[in-house]
Amino acid sequence: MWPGRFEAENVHEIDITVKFLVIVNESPWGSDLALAANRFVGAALESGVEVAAVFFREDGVYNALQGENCDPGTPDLTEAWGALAAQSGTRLLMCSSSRARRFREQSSPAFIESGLTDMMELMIGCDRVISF
Amino acid sequence: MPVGDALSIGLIIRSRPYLQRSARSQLDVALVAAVLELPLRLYFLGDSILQLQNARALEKSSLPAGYRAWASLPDLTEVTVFAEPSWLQRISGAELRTLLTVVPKTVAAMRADWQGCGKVLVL
Repeated sequence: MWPGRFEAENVHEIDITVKFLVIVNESPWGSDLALAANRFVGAALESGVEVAAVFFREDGVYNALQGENCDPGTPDLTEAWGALAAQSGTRLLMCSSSRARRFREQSSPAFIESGLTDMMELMIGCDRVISF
Repeated sequence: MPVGDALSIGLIIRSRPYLQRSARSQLDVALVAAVLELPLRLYFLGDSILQLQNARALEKSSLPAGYRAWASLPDLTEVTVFAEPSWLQRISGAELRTLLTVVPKTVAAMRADWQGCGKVLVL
């Protein structure tokens, strides 16, 4: 099971040898799961945990849709994900078929079009898969 | 007692037919895993097992027949399918059939079984 301890209250206690794949299924506005995923990945990276990639599927691909107005005080998750990827080099992969079913607009350049085969191969190669 | 193996992929399927943007999004994940020849363990929670029922009037409702591809999974890899006994009873009570052979398992027993999978993904 876990090679080290995991405490939800304190992400710094995650064993740094564990490699994560994070899957985001929700849009920035449908629930707070996408925001939680962003904060989780940021905290994990900050504490030295390797995040192999963040894979956006289903409504999660809306996280890549840039140019949407955000209410004051609400985070712009497209920008937040882009900044996180720029700082850490973590890949942001977006399911191309989920995207094709949802929007045609230009997505943020921080997001790379990918497919479910990549997601499955990443799943096999990672120690833990966390789905939001 | 977990019975899966370290390479197996467990997919927990939670939504009934047509609830999502794409009717076959969960099936797509299962098909990709099957194409990679990973042993699959499919856990249908609640009414999601209706995705496998074999008698919907798809043509009349103008909905795609994509769900029938669930039946092709055993040709691609080793597949074991689980669903809650109460929902299987409802299906058989309505004289319907499922596209795949389904093993009845309670949610508690499914939860114990997930521990035997190499990776589990909630869909």
